[in-house]
Amino acid sequence: MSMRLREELEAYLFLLPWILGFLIFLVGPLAASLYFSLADYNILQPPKLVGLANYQTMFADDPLFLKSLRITAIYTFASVPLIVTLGYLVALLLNQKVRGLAVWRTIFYLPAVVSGVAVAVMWVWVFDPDGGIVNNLLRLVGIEGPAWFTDPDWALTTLILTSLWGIGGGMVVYLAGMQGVPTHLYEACELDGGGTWNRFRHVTLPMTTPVIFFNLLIGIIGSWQVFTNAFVITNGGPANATLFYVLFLYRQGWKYHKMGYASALAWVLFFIILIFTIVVFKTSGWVYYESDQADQSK
Amino acid sequence: MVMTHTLYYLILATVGTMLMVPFLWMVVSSVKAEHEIFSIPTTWIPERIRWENYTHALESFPFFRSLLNTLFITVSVIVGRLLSTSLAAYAFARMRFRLRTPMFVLVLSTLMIPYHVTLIPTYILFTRLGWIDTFLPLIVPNWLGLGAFYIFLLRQFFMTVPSEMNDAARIDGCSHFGIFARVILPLSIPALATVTIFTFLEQWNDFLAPIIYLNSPDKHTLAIAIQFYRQSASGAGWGPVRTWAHLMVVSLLTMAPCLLLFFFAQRYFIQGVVISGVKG
Amino acid sequence: MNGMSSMSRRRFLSLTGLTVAGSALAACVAPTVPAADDAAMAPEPLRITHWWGEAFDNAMAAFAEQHPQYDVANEPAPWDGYHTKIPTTVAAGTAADVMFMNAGQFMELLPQGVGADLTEHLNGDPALDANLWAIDPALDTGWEGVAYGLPQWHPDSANLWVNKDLMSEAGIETPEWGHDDFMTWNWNDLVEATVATTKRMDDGSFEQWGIALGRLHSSAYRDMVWTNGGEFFDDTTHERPTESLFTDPEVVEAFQYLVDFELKHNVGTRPDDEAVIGPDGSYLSGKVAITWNWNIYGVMKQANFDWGIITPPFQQGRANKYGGNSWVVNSASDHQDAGYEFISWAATKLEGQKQFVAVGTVPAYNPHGIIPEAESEAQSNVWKLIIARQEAAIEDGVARAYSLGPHGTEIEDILNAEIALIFNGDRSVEEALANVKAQADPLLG
Repeated sequence: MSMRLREELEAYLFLLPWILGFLIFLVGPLAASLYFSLADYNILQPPKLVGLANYQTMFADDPLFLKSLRITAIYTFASVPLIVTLGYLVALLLNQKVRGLAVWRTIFYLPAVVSGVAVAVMWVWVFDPDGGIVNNLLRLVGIEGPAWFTDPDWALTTLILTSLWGIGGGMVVYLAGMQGVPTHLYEACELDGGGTWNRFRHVTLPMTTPVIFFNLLIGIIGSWQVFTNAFVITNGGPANATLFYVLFLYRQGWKYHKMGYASALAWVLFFIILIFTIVVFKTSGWVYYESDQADQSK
Repeated sequence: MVMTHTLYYLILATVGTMLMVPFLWMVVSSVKAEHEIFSIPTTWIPERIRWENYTHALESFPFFRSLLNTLFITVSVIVGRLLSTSLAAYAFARMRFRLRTPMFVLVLSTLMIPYHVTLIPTYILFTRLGWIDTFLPLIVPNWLGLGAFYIFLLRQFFMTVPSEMNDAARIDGCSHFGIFARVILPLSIPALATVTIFTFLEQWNDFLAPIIYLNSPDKHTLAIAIQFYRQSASGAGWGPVRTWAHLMVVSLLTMAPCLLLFFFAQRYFIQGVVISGVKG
Repeated sequence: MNGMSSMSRRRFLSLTGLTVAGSALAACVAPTVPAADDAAMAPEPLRITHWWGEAFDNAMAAFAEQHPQYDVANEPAPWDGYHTKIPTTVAAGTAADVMFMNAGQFMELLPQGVGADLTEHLNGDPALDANLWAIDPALDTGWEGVAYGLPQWHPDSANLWVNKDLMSEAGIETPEWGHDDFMTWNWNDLVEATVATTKRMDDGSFEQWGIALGRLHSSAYRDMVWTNGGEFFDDTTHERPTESLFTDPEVVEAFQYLVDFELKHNVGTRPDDEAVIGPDGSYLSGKVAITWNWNIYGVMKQANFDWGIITPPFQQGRANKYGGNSWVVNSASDHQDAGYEFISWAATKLEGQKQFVAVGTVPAYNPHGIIPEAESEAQSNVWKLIIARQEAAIEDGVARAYSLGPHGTEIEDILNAEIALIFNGDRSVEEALANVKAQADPLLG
């Protein structure tokens, strides 16, 4: 057996658990949802095939479909760059040798763990139109701030701002990635007389592009499917200003029991995200992989 | 130098304090009387510290049983996930095979369909397997590599390991499994720690899947128990008196393992030094 | 009919739920059928599901103890997953034999044949006196005149919860239960009370609010529309409406009344004031004089002020809602008789009622006149008022379904979106409700 063929077979052995899992647990449900998308399906009765009617309704006859798509697109374009950048900065901050590093890092990880009532209470302190911190600060410079959560013109912006609370997860990935930077590169950089900036620009940044790429792509895939925040904090309101795509899909499927329509929405979303993913991969020339096999799989 | 040092600590302390506010609010609320918790304006010092909230909160909370269930599920998932996703990630990062790119796209594409529309057929599948009201639906898929997020994450890390390491090992007669086990995994401790931290948090807090798949109360997880608790605290039902303070108590106790795990796991995030040592 | 749909449901399951590999695995673990004589000896299994958690533990244990012929499985699931779990398990054919449902679930699930028709059971139960129901089960938990469930408790009513300390501080006398003024107190009295109890600080921000309504409390606008002589649909049962009536003058006026608390009188809490805790939470904080809500468990147990409960002001009729939490027997269950035995025990037998009264409710079928034990006069007034309002509503012929029908959740989402625009000043009440009608009507008929 040639080396090449042997490696080929071995690769599928490595992938065997995933292939089995995919075949057993995913293919069926995915195919079923594709089938539902071509049917009138209220969950409680068997689906009745209706052809492309669900897809037609979506594009021809449902203003909320386009609205939720636009809201989600705006959110994705605004929040992903914010989270990817700020998460990176925070990770840099916590990748130093300081006293009590473990404690500092745990504090910065807190937002990933704390959720629910306590966080909601905090947002009220921050964004209350009268007594909130933000509007009090704005008043100092003579600006009367909006009713952040309850004004339909501002609610989406407010949710984008609150999404920053979630940078803790990305920070963990960055921190882990920064440990993979070989120290000899820093030493070489120092020998060349590079300062802090040069060390960052020529060593840390390029060596951590694989994790930046990860957070970017996962951020995009995740923010197209944002659900929890919109569900818990604003429940789509006010006046559907934060009716994110998956919240809209959830309502159609689980609140109104139009699971056929919800499935069609899901498959449209699938293709949107797939296109974004392909574009991100095609433009990933800036990602530097230390291993030379990387080129063929970007 | 002193300036930047001071500035650094100033930023750390300011941001850190802000991030701690909800946590501190929970701690303070957990020892408050009910009417104090949402008092306007907010008070940070309780009228009296009510430690009895802790004993009352736990009196009829099935803490021990649901903790054991949750631990069992979480640990099983972590082990299965570490094994199966790292194998898949290795194949994508270090092996040559014809379907590498299409299969990787397939892996990622499983992240792109919201679970809302696959929940019913998945449930029907588990019904057919006879797995309802067991932990199997929560565990087995993770032993079979389902978790594209983690495969992608590990692939990114494995690809940063310099390939000279591979080559050296191959020359020494190492098989791919040998390289995976003896070179790649030991060099990817921070990444494996990340997978562990994330999986722990995810499994610890997941409540929808356990609610759907588990029927018997003696199989309920912590997240389910807390959900019942929250229902009574927010006045949705009768039953035993569960106040917001009690809810804070059980929430804090449930969060604690997630924080402790991170606190101890994050020390693996300073091992870059060791890696360069291997490289020599 | 039922047989037909469950047949095709089963066939559909085998078509969709399985993959090749999945069915192979399923074949390996196919459950074995117990031998017939074993089954005759063993207790009959009975699975019961609800979202009330341990609040029902004692009741379930009591039933199991009194009925050794059944192997009772208590399967509680928290509400946040419950409303997903019920349709999922129904679709998979594994739903529990008995399911607890709320008003919204009846209208979503009963028209689809999820519940077993209880007519024969009810007619064949010699111990039952049909006249003793607070409300006909066919109406409360039925569909098109057929009873599919037995109401577990008396139709609840949303009432005005008053902070008597704040009222007397402002010199307003709270109309007490049993006093003459109780039944005559009107809209102007309510507005006057909320204005008098609102307090502001020097900078204009609120120190104390007259009323907490949310934007708007779903129970408040129902009460208001009905007592004002309005209807939501051309079908008063909400079962098969062909047209919504959101633009009727009585409906518009009712919404205007409620909106005016915030927009005109400026005495109501705004969403930011009661974020997280909701209207009842803000009331419980002691800074709100009145709120419009159903049973506020927290208030009864924890209020650190003197509280009372009064009716919403009557406009033209004394309306009330029906449609409370009820037990439904699964139409696909193999244990329907056992299921009926449980729900009739829970809803109509003294031993069962005692268990559920302990969680703070008045039985809907109440030959023994039992009501929950009250810790105070204020608390006992809650039960009395709930009963009195329902009797008055039935007398006046204005008892209405709480659920807005099979499309109720969708219509309420439409309504909430438009209401937000009223509060934002982008729409008048009239324009908003016209928009609701324009979006809701195509769903009906």
